[in-house]
Amino acid sequence: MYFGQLLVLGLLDGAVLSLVATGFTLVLGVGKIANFAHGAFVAVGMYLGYEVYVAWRISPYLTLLPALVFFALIGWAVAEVFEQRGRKVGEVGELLVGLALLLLINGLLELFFTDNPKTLSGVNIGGVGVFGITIQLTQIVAGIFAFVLAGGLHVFIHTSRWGRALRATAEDPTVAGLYGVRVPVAQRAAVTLSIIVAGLAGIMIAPFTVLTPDIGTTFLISAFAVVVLGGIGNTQGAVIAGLFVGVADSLAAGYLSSYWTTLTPLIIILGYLLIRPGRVTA
Amino acid sequence: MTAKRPFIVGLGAACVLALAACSSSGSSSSSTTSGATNASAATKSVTVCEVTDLSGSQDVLTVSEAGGGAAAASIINAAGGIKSLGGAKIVIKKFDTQSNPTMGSTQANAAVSAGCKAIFGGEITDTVMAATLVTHRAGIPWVDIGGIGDAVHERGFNDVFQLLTTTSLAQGYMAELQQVATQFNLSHPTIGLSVSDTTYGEDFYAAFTKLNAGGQFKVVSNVSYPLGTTDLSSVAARMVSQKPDILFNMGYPPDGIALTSLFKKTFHTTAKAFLSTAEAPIAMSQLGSLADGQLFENTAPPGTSANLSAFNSAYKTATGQAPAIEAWEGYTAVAFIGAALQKAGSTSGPAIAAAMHSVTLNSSNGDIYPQDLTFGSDGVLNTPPTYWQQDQAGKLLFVYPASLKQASLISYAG
Repeated sequence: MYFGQLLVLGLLDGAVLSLVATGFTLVLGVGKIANFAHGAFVAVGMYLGYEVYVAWRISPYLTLLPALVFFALIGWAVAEVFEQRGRKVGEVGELLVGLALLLLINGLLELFFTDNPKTLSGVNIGGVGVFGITIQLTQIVAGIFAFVLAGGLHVFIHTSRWGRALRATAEDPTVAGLYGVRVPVAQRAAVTLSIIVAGLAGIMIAPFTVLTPDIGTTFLISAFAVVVLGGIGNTQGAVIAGLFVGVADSLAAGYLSSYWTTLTPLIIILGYLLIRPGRVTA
Repeated sequence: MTAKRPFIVGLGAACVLALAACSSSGSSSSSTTSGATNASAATKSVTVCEVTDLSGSQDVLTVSEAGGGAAAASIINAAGGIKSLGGAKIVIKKFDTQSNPTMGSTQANAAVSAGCKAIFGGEITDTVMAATLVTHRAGIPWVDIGGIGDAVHERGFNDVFQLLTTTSLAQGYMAELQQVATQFNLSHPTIGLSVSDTTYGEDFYAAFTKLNAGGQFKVVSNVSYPLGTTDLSSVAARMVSQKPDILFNMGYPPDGIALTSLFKKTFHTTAKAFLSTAEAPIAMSQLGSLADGQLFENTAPPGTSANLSAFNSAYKTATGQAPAIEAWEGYTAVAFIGAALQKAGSTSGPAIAAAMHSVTLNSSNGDIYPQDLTFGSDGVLNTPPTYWQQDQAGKLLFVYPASLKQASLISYAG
């Protein structure tokens, strides 16, 4: 029974990680940018869902469409910063832009919402009993959303004309440019897409997650492990790896110590790089 | 060449910002006056300093702590000041330790240099430990608010006073645990325990273990977790796994809220009671009906005494808000300092400290609690006020002590 509970809790946590990592793998694999602020955009999505519900009692699910537009605008602006400032300085510049954005967003969230943790307990659409515990439907919906999103992105990237442009840019921007792909636009699109995914992921997980301004940093570490394990740029791999990391985390915390929730992703990253150093890309 | 330019500009900007931050931290003290005070009235004023975490992670506590202190000073000043000192008014100067223990001694030195006659404040044990080393050498008494580690008073400094310690906190929880065991006829009560792995959590656990040395309560599951853990689902799973009679979280207030949500929404506990450090107003507003049955230690003084009404009014004037969290502790610290100054009739640190050991805070000199308050020879408040309330169908009712009891306990599991 206890094992079953931990397994189910791990799968649910894994679904959340998958959601976060799907956008991260996109910006890392296709946008070729290690956007450290990715987790912070998840946090922005969470607080957006929280605030809309608290202020106007509007379900976070109803904010998904307007939020898509909102994060598209934010994403394009951030992509401009990365392209115009970060990329020109090189990889160090991109890292600095990401770190600056992460700190800025953390600071702003703390300013507007304080660092008191918040919970969105009012959004309740029922639950299902498994192994003696109740799984909230909000968690299941988030899991389904992760699968649909990853599948949709996979189809988009591998079958559409835009997707081919993104893949070509990821593989070799110079050659892609010679073949007529507008490389700067493709790279901006990848960054924008990843931020949209991050924001929407935040909204989906807000109803059952404790909100803190720095939660994005926590997500980022686990997302790194998921992306490495699933293959950089591989959205489907991110989903499977997310579930694996979630279950590993849960079992380690349940049977060993809560400290393993922090250590497990790091061990996975190091272990995978040691065993299969050349297979981190999809 | 061109690629390096933005980097150099960025580096320069970072240096300028760092220099600006250093210069602002060097002059981090600020002062507020309570009542009619100014430089020309120096002989008719006593400088009391608040050295505490005015910014950073603990600032949520010190907003109310500072408000409470300011309210006490304004009440004392409005009543004619410290009469034994010719009606000297209390002036509060603030020093910000920025929720950073390494700033404790720096800001304590600044407070000593600023001529503070007594100090109150502190929300982090490590900060208070470092800062009181400085003030003890200078002979200035300090009333500690929220640095509740027993280590603070165990050093034997005769000029450091604590309103609360981990031992007295654990005693308060033990009293409520015993009430739960009695009311639900639990002859061998079992506890599912979780502890935040911090100095505070470890001290709390050590104090509880000492009080439970006789084995009255059997801890059937015990899980510690690192500070900042937001997903407590595995912690909750372990706490309920042995079906304990009582769930007990020795963590921070947000942990209690997160665990409540998990116990009510995900895990179906059969526990009769859940104790945590969650604060009732925040838990009930965030969790709604999920908080039903949860026990809360209440820090607000009960009743409607004249002193309490005066405090509520002064606090509202000082802050524009109703008192919350550590407002009462801030008030009590300054009220004690005022009473000690009155008794000592002197602004000498050792004289104030000696008076603090013998003074009684009661209804005649500003006590807002129903009971008289005194410090023991070890500098710890004798019998700190302990009140317990339970959320029963959205209403917060006193369940402990018997003198305030509004309702019997209801089972947490329902």
